[in-house]
Amino acid sequence: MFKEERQNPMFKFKDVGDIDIGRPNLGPSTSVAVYRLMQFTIRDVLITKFGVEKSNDIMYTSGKLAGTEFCKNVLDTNLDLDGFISDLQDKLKRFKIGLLRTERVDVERHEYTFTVAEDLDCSGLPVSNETVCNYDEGFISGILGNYTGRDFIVEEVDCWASGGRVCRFEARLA
Amino acid sequence: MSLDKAIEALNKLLSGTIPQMIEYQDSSGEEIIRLFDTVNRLIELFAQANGFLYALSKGNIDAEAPPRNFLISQFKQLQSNLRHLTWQTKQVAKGDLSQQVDFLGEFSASFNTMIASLREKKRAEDELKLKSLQVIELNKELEQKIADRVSELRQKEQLLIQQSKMAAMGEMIGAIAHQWRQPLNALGLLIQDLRYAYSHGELDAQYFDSSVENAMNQIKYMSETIDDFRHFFKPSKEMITFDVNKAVNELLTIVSPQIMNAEIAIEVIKDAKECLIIRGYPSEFVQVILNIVNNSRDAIVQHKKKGLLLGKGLIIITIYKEDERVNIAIKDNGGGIPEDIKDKVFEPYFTTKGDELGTGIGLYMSKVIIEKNMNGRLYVYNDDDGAVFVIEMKSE
Repeated sequence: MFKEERQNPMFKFKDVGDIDIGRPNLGPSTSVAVYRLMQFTIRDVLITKFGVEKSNDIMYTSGKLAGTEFCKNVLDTNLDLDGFISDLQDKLKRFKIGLLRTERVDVERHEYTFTVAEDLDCSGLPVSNETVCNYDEGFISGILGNYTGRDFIVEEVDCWASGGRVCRFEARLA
Repeated sequence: MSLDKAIEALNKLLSGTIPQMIEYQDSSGEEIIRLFDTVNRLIELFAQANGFLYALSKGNIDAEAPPRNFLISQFKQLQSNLRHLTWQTKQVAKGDLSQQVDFLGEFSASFNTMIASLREKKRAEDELKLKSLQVIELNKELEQKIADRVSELRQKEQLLIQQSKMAAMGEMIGAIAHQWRQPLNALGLLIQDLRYAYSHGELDAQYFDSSVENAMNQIKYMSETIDDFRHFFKPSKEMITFDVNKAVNELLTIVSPQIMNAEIAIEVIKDAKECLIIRGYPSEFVQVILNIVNNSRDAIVQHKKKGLLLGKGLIIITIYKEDERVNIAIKDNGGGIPEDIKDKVFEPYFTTKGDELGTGIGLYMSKVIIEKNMNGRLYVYNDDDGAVFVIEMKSE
């Protein structure tokens, strides 16, 4: 799975492996620094090879794939929207991804505004006037897409790195 | 001069006033222009922050937060929390009591306590609702069970009534047979006498007419006996007022021969001064007296068989008025009812007489007739010699 040539993504949630068996002593958690070390170095190399825009797109698309699999395997898609959002909040907190806040829900227009506090990807970064959570944008897009069966565009309008203290994401139908 | 503009603008910012943007000439010099641009950027950020915070302070938590403005970054977090709290409150209003606030310090604790109280209240309400439904369901089941039981009891009662009728019919046939024994014997003698008279040439027209008249008298007596019994056992259709003395006398006319045949004396003691009128079903009332009298007769016979009664059997019927009641006490010297079964004698199918003498329904039906149909009371107690059955009826 890991080193085959492919035209379309092959990743499935089960590919993360059986962590309980694999890490009986260290357990399923790691440090945020290690996570960021991997993501930021990959991003760094991607930019050198493909440029900023293409790298952002790769991060977004990867996040979307992750969100889709996360939704399929971790979240309860049988719940109504309110229940689903509550479940999402609970799971994001349990997986220590961030504290999801729901600021606005427009069911008819399928428009949502979420913020994520203590975001795994960016909280505590130096302010650089940039929004950096492209992976999170894709992640949320994948989750909403899998739950609703519609394609969503998610844009980060505020980020810790842009001086916002929280990451604010606006989602709308593509 | 140029620096004064920047200092004045910065002083205004420090005093909380948003100054005008600094206008400058391109010829102002590179360093001065960079300074002015920086101050202008600061003025712009202050102006944006001021507008956003003003809206927020007025309660407009949906105010658009300007991006990339470090001055309001903490307030964006507050705004996010407030907007999320608003959404949570709406969820709570919709009935989602799983919402928990994990920010805003003391407020969170209070909010969560309030939600917990609501949750507990809802749980109690749901439990109450469930219990109510269970009670309704239980009531339905009970009602059905009661209806089934009532239906079953009615069927049993019908069966008992039928059995009681059969028993009464048996009594009637027995009584008729007893009443007919004497006239049948007389008829037999008359017929034998006719043959005897004929064979001895004594049968002339006068003798024949006399014999026919005698025979017809016996047959008439037999026919009247049947009428009496039919009248006696004919069910009353409606409640009427009637004289207890008269009803008891009619009964004794019919049953006395049988009772006396069992070597039992029967006496009636009644208050001649009082008019003892009650309201009820006369035929059924007489049937009750008959049941009790027969019961006394059987008890006396058994008592005698066991050698426990050496003298004559005696049944005394006392009819008297007490307060607003007419009481009929039927006392015998049959030894009484054993204490351990006294409470059971009015239960259906309870008998101590064995299958030949008793069906176990006579006293049960008597109690039903007196207490259920005629609003009276029937009970029994033992005195020194035997049992005393008492019927209490409201005097009319």
